[in-house]
Amino acid sequence: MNSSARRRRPFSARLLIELIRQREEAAGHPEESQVADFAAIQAGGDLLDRIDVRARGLPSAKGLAAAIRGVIRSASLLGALAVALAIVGGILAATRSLEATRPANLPLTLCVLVGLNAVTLLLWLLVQPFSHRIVGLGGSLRTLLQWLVEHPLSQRIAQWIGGSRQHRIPDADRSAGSGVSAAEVLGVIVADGRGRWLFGMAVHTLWLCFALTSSLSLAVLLSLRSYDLSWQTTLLTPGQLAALAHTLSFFPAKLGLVRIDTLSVTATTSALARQSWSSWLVWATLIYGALPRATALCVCLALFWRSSKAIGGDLSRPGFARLRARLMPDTAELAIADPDTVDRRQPADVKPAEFAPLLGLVHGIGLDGAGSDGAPPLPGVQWIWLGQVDDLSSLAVAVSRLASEQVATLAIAVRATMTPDRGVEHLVTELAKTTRAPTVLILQDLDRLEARGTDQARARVACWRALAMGVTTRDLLSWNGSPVSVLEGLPS
Amino acid sequence: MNREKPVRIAVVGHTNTGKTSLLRTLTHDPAFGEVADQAGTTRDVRGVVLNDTQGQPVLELYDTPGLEDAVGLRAFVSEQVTGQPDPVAEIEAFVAGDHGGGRYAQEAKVLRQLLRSDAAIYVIDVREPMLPKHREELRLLAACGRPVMPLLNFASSAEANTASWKEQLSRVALHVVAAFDTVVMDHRAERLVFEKLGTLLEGRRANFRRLVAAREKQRSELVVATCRVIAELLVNVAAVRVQYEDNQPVEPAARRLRDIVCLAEQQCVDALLALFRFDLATYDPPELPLEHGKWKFDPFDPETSRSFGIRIGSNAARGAAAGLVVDMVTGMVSLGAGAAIGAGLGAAWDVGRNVVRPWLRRQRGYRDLALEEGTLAVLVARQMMLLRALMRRGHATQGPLKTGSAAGWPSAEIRKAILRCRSHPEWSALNEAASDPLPNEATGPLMAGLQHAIGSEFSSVPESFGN
Repeated sequence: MNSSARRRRPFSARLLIELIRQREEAAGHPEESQVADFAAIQAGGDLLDRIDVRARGLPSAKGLAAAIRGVIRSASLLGALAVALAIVGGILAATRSLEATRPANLPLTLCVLVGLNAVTLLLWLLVQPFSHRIVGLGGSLRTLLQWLVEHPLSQRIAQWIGGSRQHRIPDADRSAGSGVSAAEVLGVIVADGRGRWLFGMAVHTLWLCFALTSSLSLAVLLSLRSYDLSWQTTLLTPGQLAALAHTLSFFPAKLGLVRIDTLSVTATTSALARQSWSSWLVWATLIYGALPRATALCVCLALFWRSSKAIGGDLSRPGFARLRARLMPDTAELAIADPDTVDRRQPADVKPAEFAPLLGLVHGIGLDGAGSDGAPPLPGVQWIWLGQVDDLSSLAVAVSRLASEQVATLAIAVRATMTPDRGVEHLVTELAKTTRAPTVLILQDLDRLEARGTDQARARVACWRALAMGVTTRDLLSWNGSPVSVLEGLPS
Repeated sequence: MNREKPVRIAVVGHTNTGKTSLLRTLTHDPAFGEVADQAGTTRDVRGVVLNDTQGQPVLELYDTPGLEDAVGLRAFVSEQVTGQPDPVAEIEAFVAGDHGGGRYAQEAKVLRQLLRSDAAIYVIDVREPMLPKHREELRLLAACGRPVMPLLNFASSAEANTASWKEQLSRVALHVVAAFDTVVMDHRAERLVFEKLGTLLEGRRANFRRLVAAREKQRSELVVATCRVIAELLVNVAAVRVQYEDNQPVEPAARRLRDIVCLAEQQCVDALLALFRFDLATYDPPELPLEHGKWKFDPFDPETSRSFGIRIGSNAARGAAAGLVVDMVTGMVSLGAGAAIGAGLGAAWDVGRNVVRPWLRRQRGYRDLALEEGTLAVLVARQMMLLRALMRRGHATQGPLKTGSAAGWPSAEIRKAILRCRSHPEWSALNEAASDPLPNEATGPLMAGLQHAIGSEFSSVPESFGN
């Protein structure tokens, strides 16, 4: 599906996709259009299909598409005019070369119809190994095409041919397309070395038209009229001419189109000789004029086609990769499966109570692993350490002891790194309400908490303070008995 | 058609252990849910679906509120929910009830979701010790009759008690355990999570296989796209030129060049963060000098380059700034490219373009200002550093990120490709008259070099899913 969809996508659609990608990459972010995004997701298909639908749905697409249509139409028009000129040139060249001398000179005719064509083809071939190194080839081609496409004359002709269909970008669309120019469109077409293949295609097409029409004209003229043919020149001897004719006949003979042994450069006047030489001439112009150009054109077409696959189709481009999250997300949030129904108090911004040092006889309990090595070593404190409380049975033991003993002060140790939750709150509340003595929370491992970051430490201490204030009026203490507000940056 | 249905996984655990963060990491969506370092941040149950390469849903993950009072809940269930034939029926009866007058409503949501799911991921903050309340939570979850996979979060923390947790979990018959760290992206650990879930749910393994395949594909596409972003920056800055008249002061041109380069680098950083779907305004990786998505230090600051082990400024442009150089292109004529086409027209063209043209321009009184090699080295090292941070792997065993080799170049291949761009001003889209911006010829070798440089570090684990 993927590849077939890509095959079906027309060149103009791919140009639009590529233009939008380039603009979005230059802007640093994709164009925002929820309508286009939604349409793309609804359309489904692979990512490229969705990108295509989105591109067509963007507000700027109208202007860009009009610009693309304009460029393609103007370029087609220019191409058609050039082809027409090449055809006329081919007919004229064939006619003039046959009629330039009487009898018609075969070497001259061949030279006119094939010579320049072959020389330019050879030159083209020669520059190919380093043409990609010629700085600005693509740019120059783009500038030339731009000049041609945007020239008022070509626009007028295009309008005239296009009739009522507007080819110029309407002002409103132009603003939506935010100043799209033919240069931008052409820049996409000729980028990545495609310019050289496009240039090659144009040149080979024109020469091919020239060669084909000149061959056809020759065939028509030689079929309709009687020409005297000659191999006579001023400088070359009959022997040299025979060698030349023999050499030129090599490929046509290999293809079985002419028989060298029946041809003579000196005997050209007989009807049979004229018929043979005229046939030879037509085949020679085709084989030396049209065939190489057709081959070169095919090569350029294939290379352009291969290179142009990247237009609007290279998903590794960052601009396309960024669209994946919007158009083909790998995740999608589902509706809330079970809404929040718990009515809970909001954590209040609790101010710390006044600091009161821990002194005298103190009952101590460690929660959830705090104080597992015993009570904090605080000077002036005489501990009655009741051990750990971390489940219902240990809670029951601690509660019964607190209820049965005279408690002056109750200190509950917690690990500061622990999250104060409802479970901890439940244990602290159960312990605190057992005795009427003042209760104080001691935070262990404050250094570990601080190591996780000041902001985190600050927020956590605030949570512990909020929990403590629900059961006591005394502020939190650190493990060494100092107020926790001595921590740098914490609220005091 | 069981295979067609997405697998449902409830993500459960004690409060504030990183359940929502886990979902953010697994979905690569930093906007999912709400995250705060306190209890009860998530209060509802919300799901997210993970798709395969065709966009078909294969896995549904449900974020649940934290279990806060499992000890109290256990006591409540024992006392109040009686006469049920088995533990699952007991939990179902509790979920259907009034949850102790709403006191255990939060826990009820968790258990209800687990009863609707195929399995649970039990998220553990391994920086904390295993306590009786955790055992109670596991007992409650086991009573739901669904497979439970503990996931050890913060596994890369220095405070992690991973071995102790594994040992304790094995005592309650939980042997399939995944280690993860939700604060970093680790595709191997992520893959292992899915593979282990596949082991736990044998019948639904195909879903996890499809998911892993989709993730691998996405990742490789991401690597190519990010390498292209960096390659385009490097081509642009290596080939950028700012012209100034010889009899004029160079400083304005130097400032202009610096501004152009800094803006281009920022656009690259923005693009990288966007590709990785990080919030551009808030992403400050702790080990990178990046603040609100912007590099803190000027790439032209010699101090910055020194931190990468790079020396620049030795060849600084006259009175301009360290990191810039005047008319450096003449030295970069061939770099082996000429040899590739023989000593023919191409080499002659190179010489003409790189020697004669600048010479002619100089004769007319113009000079070109460009970036020095050291500055380019800083720029490439910084982007590689950011890319490594974004694609970080093996973080559990790694200390702070290393800045690369002493020379600052990730590889000789990359250095060669970048230096080659210096002699092609037409390749830089930052040059107004660029005739051939960012051709494949320029970006291709750089992308290959960058992919090669990070490929060895971030290669995928071998395929371990069978068919």
